Amino acid sequence: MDCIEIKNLSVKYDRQIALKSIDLLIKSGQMIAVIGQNGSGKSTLIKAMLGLIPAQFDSIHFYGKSLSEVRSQIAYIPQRETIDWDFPISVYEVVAMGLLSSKKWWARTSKLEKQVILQALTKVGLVAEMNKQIGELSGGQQQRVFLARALVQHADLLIMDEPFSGVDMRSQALIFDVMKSLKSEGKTILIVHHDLATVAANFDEVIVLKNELLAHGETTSVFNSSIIENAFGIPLNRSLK
Amino acid sequence: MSADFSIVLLFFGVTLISVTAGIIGYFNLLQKKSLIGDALAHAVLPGIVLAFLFSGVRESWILLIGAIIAGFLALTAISFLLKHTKLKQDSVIALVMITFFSLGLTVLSYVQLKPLGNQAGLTDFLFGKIAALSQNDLFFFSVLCSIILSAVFVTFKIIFGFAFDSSFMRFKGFSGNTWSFFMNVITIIIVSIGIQAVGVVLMSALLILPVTSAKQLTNNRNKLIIWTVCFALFGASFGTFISLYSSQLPTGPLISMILCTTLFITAVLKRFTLLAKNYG
Amino acid sequence: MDEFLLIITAILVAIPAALLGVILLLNKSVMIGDAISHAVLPGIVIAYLIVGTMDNTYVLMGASIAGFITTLLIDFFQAKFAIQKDAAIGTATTFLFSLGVLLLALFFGQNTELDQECVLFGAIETTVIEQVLVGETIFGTRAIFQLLPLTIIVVLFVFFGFSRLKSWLFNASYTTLLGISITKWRLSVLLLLSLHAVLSFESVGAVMLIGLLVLPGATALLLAKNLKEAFVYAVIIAIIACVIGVLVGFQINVSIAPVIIFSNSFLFIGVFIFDRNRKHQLNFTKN
Repeated sequence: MDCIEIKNLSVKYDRQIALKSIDLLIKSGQMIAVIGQNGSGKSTLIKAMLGLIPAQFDSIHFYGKSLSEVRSQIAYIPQRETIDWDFPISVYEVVAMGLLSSKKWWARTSKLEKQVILQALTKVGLVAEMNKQIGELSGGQQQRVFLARALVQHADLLIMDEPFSGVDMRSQALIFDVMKSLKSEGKTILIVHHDLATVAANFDEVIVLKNELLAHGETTSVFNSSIIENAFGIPLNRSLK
Repeated sequence: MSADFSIVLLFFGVTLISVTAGIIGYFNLLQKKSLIGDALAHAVLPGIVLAFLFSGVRESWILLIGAIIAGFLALTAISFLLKHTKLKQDSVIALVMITFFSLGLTVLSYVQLKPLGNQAGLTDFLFGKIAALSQNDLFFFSVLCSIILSAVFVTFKIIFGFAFDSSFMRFKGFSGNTWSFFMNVITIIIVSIGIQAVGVVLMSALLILPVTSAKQLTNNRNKLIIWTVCFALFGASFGTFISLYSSQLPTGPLISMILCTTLFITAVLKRFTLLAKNYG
Repeated sequence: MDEFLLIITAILVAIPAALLGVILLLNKSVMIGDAISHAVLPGIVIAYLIVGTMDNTYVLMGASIAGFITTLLIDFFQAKFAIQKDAAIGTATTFLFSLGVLLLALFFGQNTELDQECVLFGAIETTVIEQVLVGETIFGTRAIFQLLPLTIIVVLFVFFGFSRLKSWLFNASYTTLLGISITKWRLSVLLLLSLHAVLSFESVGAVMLIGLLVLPGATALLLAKNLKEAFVYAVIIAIIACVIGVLVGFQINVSIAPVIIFSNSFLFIGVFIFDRNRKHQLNFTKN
């Protein structure tokens, strides 16, 4: 089943071209990494796809439909720098945000919804920290909060922007475990990833960007020397260090 | 008997205005837009003065409409300049604020030379004079504030969500434009009402100080708003009380000083408890 | 003759404001300029209470301290009270200004020398009353002679400190690395702002000084390609606005100070439109 289909997507900032004519077809049930060096358009691709920044394209479809029709099936976790960690919001409240619906925004949280929130918190191991203000958590724990928020949305497609930056090993492992269990439920996971060393072991497919699409395919075939050297400017073995 | 009623109404009205302002200030702080209240307070002046000039009467609702129009023009000007010039946010806000304000003062100065001018007590707009508010005014303002408070109560989760993580909210399908318009509307309305009680120059005190004091005591979403309301309530009632006994003292600076004192006390308390924790 | 004197007075207030304003704009500290101009009010009232007259140098000095106190307060609020920057500035401004207005109301309810009207509008119009005469010729007014030294000092400050200012405003961290003390420059600017605020009090009043600080500089920045141009254009624009302001204010018989400020705004809008047109033309001819 086609999860994401993008035709001829371009993004321009003032006079700079961030993304040029991207065509992508992503099938469901995969774990895909989007890699490329800084400024190659990785975050831009995600934001453009999700309608968060203006872009030009022929078509963008999720499960054969437009974004507005399938919003409830997609969960998005933005980059950590965009969050204000001093904000007076607790772990629980962040996760609860995932249940907000633009269709019935006046509704109060039901008992069932409270259960869902607790389940998600359990899955990421943050039940004890439920009432803490988010600034009190470690980097890895903070990332897990946002993962929990994505979980309560029961989305079929999870899109994350650099979820592992500044995250400790234990949290990394936990997050990968959660993602793999989601994949086994048939969900699709698309991640903007910066750590090349963990690509081969965890991801089924790789998308390589350099303001345009350099490559997209199975990790085993795409994640090789010539393509990486083209994308990053240095050979594969050096970029893995 | 009616004198008692009018005093009760006065307290009620000013307190309600202050509490509403405090809550909106809470959201402004969360959005890191604390100075917008000050800017709007200055910017609505020409709206009020021109409304008076065109209508010939000092009727609250007419002045309010004038203020709201001016407020929106100011916000539009600010976004426009931010988009089309290289000037930074603090510069643009100051620029728009003082332009509107000086226009207001020019017209005010002109109005005061005309026979009508003196009767209106328009300078009271600058420092606030609650004694100048009529019963009708207070009633009207109280109704508006109640509407605003209800609206905030119902939409709380959403505007809070936007303040925290607007791209998530937009992604979820909430329209960023609609909700910021909503916030702008209620901010402009409360500023337009509030300056009639505390004056232009110190409107920002009502917005900034209660939540800033509250933040000294807690970083929990709900407790923060409760403390904000408490401080706003206290400042307003105490200030109104003193203001009634001294017609010399303008309300604005009075409430402002009370709120500042409260802030200093809470901040000092917080530092002391922190120190005690470290040494305990 | 009166108009001429007023124009000179206004220009003497506007030039240092324009120059200092450019610095504030580039340093993103515009609101601090606003805070200081509000903060001198309690300083002036207290000094007046102690000394009894507005004409004393002690008043000047005492009130100038207000400027320092403002910045100290703002820094204190940010550091010790953990208040975010814009809220800290707002709090300091509000506190000091409320204090000033309350003292004013308590002690000077109906006093003519120092009153609410003056605070708001300034009273530049009344400065022509106190004229300085040498024989039969009018040399100027007391206000002019009072303002002149500071204007000269600020111009010299900007002229001789130009390279250091440029360095500080465009790349503060690099400047510190070179061993230049940014703090000294920052404090000097604050001191000049405080002195200026106190001296300008009777001309434009506390509430509108920010207009003279921000507007000419903002207009200049639309046109200027470098720092020198920014300073020069700001001064020119400020002068033009003063002339327009005084003449128009005189004609339609309103308070002059807000008209001067609004003339500045008018020039800003004019330059903005002119500049956009010019850019559109350029794009047009390119394509």
